[in-house]
Amino acid sequence: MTAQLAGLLLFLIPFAGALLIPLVNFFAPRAVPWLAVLFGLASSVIAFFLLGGTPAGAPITLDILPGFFRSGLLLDPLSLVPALIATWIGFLVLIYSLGYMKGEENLARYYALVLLFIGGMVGMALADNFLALFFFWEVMGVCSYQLIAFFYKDPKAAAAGAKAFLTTKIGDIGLLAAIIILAVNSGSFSFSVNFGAAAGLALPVLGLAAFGFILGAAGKSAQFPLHVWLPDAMEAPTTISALIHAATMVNAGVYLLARVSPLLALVPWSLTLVQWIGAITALLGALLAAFSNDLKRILAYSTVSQLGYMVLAVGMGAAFASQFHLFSHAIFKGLLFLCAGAVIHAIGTRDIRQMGGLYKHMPAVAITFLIGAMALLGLPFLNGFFSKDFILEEIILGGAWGPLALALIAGALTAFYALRTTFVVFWGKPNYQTHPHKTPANMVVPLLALALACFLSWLLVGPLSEAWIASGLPAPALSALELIRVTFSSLAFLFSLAAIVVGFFLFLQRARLARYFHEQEPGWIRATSRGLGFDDLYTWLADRIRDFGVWVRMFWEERVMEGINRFAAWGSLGLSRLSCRLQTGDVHWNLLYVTLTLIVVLGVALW
Amino acid sequence: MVSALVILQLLPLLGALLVWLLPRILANSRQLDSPRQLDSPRQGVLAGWLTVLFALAQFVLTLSLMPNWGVAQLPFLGVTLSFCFDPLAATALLVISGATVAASLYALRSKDAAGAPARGSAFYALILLVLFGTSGVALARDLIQFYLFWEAMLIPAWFLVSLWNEDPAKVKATGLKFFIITHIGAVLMLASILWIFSLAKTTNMDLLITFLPSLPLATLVPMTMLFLMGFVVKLAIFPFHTWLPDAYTSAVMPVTLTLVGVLTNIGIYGFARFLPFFPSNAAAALSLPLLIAAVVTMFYGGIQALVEKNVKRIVAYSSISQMGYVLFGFATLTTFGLSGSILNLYNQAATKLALFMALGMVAEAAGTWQIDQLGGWAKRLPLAAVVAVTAMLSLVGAPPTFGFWPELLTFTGGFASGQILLSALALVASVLSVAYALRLIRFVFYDPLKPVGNMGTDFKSVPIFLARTPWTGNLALVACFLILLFFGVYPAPVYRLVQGALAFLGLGG
Repeated sequence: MTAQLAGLLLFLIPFAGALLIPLVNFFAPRAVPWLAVLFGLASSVIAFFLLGGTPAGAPITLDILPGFFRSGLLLDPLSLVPALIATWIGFLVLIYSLGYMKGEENLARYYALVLLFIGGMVGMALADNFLALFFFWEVMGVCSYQLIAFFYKDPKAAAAGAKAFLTTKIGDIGLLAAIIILAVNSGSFSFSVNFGAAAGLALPVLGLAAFGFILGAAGKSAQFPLHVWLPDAMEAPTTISALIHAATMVNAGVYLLARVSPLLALVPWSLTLVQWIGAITALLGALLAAFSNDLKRILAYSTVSQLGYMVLAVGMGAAFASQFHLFSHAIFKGLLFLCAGAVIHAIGTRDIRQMGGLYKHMPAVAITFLIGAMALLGLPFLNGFFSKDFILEEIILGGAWGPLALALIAGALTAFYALRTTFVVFWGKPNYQTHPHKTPANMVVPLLALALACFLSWLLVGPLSEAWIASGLPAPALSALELIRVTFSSLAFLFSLAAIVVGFFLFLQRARLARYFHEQEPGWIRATSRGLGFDDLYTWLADRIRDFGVWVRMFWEERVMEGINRFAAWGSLGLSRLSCRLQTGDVHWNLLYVTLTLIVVLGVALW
Repeated sequence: MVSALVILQLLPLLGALLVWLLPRILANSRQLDSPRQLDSPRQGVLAGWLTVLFALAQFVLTLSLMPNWGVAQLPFLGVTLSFCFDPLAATALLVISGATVAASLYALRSKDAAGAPARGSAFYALILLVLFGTSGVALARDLIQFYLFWEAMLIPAWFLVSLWNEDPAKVKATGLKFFIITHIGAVLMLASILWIFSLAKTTNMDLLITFLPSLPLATLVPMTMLFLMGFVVKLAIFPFHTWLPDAYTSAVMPVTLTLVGVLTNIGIYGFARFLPFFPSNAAAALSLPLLIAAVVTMFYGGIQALVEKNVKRIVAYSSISQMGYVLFGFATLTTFGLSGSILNLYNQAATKLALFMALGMVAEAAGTWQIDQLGGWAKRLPLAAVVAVTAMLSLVGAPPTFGFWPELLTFTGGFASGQILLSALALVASVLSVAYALRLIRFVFYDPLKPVGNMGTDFKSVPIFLARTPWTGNLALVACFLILLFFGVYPAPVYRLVQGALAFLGLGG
């Protein structure tokens, strides 16, 4: 099998599954989950053909719009990392779903959409042109909308799905505009042609395109100020949260920014904009996570925050560091979400104040969650530690002190909320009412696999950087040993250690902090409980648009436009009434008209 | 070739006669008390199937004639009729005959609200007459011939709108409004045709193509504008849109389907045919005003769809907004924009037929069109829900549905024409589309199930899935659904046809 064929199959297999499952559901609904897992397994196996050593093979292309747009595959390390993450973590999520979604209604819809989602992410990553990227990008948007609103009978879920679709759509129009602007100038959608042609473009045009890309990435990767959809997306089944946060969707924005980073480098202000968006998002996410009490929301805000780090890295021109962190994050965040799913499955609530002491009932989940949380806060020798420090190092090298300060405060807050959440859920005083359900084995296996990967995945830095350099992408030459040496001897290590210590201190003082916040109730703490007012602002805006719509509908359309119609009708009716007066039926009058007409006609003729 | 085109043209007329007469002949053999019984539903079933058959025959005949493009002259009663079968005409014929099949399939088994008259043979005969008129419009290669068929399509449509009406109180008003406003457009078009005739002494389009560029720009611009007004009104571009919501909303569903799938699309066809027909300098002078009208229409329709409470009216306003995109594509005067808008012929028909049929099934079952009385219908009518969501995605131009490709080409045309600001505004309008489309889907299909009429929320007692809606309607629904998905994933076949159409119009290709 050639690499090109393997790449094609990597997203065609999930798509075939998505197509087949609704049909199978007609006669064998019970086989659906297993069929989905089978398709996931098939593409996971195919994925190994892409790791290296496979001959590239002839390019596979397809004429979509003949004469205008031909799509093909691009297999380089930058595209393969998100694709493989989507395939493998997606597969784990499918296995986990067997237990988690057991007994739910509409499982065919669920599994078909999950496969479509995974295929969409793989297709997005492997596209060799902007249009196919956008196509799959939008397919993911559709899947996320449908899956977030999976429990459609719940108004909150229905609203959250719509919100996710609408918010990301705002970013998407930016992305589409950027793609079209580039295509109109270069006559092609392909990456290579556009990157080649970009240098010849006027700076304002390029700036417009860069802004569009940043907007698109901000929407998909839930960056400030378009981050509002991600916390609400927690209404989805937890498996879907794991999928969105670890394997698909949010990684797309970071991938896009890394992919277009050569373009961004041509526009001086755009990288600065990206840095600040990333840094603000990192801090904002961490702050909101620290003050949340909903387990899934904490993790959602944590994703927002971690994506901020990745975006910040792209802004520093360090695409490799961002992808390295994306890789680590996918693993530990997938783990954390699946653990959270197990907890929610067991006691049926998401509020951490109603949990506590769950270690006794589910030690495996507790330990793996702890490992994930430690990777999240960056404890040495876990994957999150190396990749986050890598990013901090790049920030220091780039001399972006403002974003660095925000990132470090965010680091301290990350340590705080990671410790707080783990402790409150698994070790604190038990507060739950029900008897916890046992965790089924098919839910535990993915947890163990991911926990192990948290310890080991950073070892892959060597092959990864080699592959990047081999395909001409900008990356430092690093082996795992080298990474250890560089990391521990850097300034960033000291900074992040300090951040963790501060976070730990905050964690120890949490009782005092809680009392302070409870008694004083400063204004900003109330604001954090409402997402710092972003939702309020957007709701206000949407309401004003709706008010305007009501005005247009009730006044302009009903009164003015219909008024014109009525006036025309009334006017012609009046005219006809007026002319009716002339038709008296009286012979004398008629003779008068005849005589007058004759006089006029004769007069005109003679004159 | 001549005979084939004449058959293509006359097939719906023959069908209309047969549909109208056959039930009468059959009924004559039995004794009937009153002529009212002629339009009884039982006669309607036979008439309906005949309609499906004739429209399908036209569809198949168009497909089988497809590579044989050409022009045919036919002397007839002292004048020469001129028919032209090119990829654009074929596109229009496929869409309108396909839409007629869908509309009559849906009409066969659906039930209208109480108060609407029964649908008998007269109803189906009128549907075929509309198809006859529109086929003539699509095939005409002579301006007077074009105009005659344009009128021939409006008149049966007027009968349909004013007689088969769900709203007895407003029946006269909506029918007249529809007829008068669309007729104003037609008369302006006639004025332009007569003006052209007074200067050129011919109405044959092949001869006019060489003649028109010799006219001064000051004559050409108003002449072109007058001509295009017929289509602007037909597409319901702001401020000539007021007929559309009333006509769509008060007519019974099958009539709405005909209006949506046949009449509106023939307006799109008219633009595609005549915008390149007039010399490019005249069109260029009109480009900016049309672009602005298009953008205003997008927002105007969208914002009303966002707050409207009647589901059918929401889709009607969304249709106005969508026609803004169609006009935008044309008005860019680029090959991208034109191919986008011609592609929209297929897309708009499939998308809106699917959306209207799915919502029609919901409304028929629920007995209401009010959005705040609906909710949770995905549970009761899963097929309608799946198709409605797909059609909604196509409406907002989201992959993997058909709607993405026309939208992409339209916007590419916009940016290629250099109108960055207006194109950006058009993109922003698509966010508005998403907002109203999501609202529609959410409050009709999602959320907890609301009890409607005598139905409780206990849906377990209702039989599941397909059995609940008529199979003919489901068939039409599934066909639209498959079209939306297939061409959404692989638009190359229709795109090739569109490129062929552009080549025949003398553009790109």
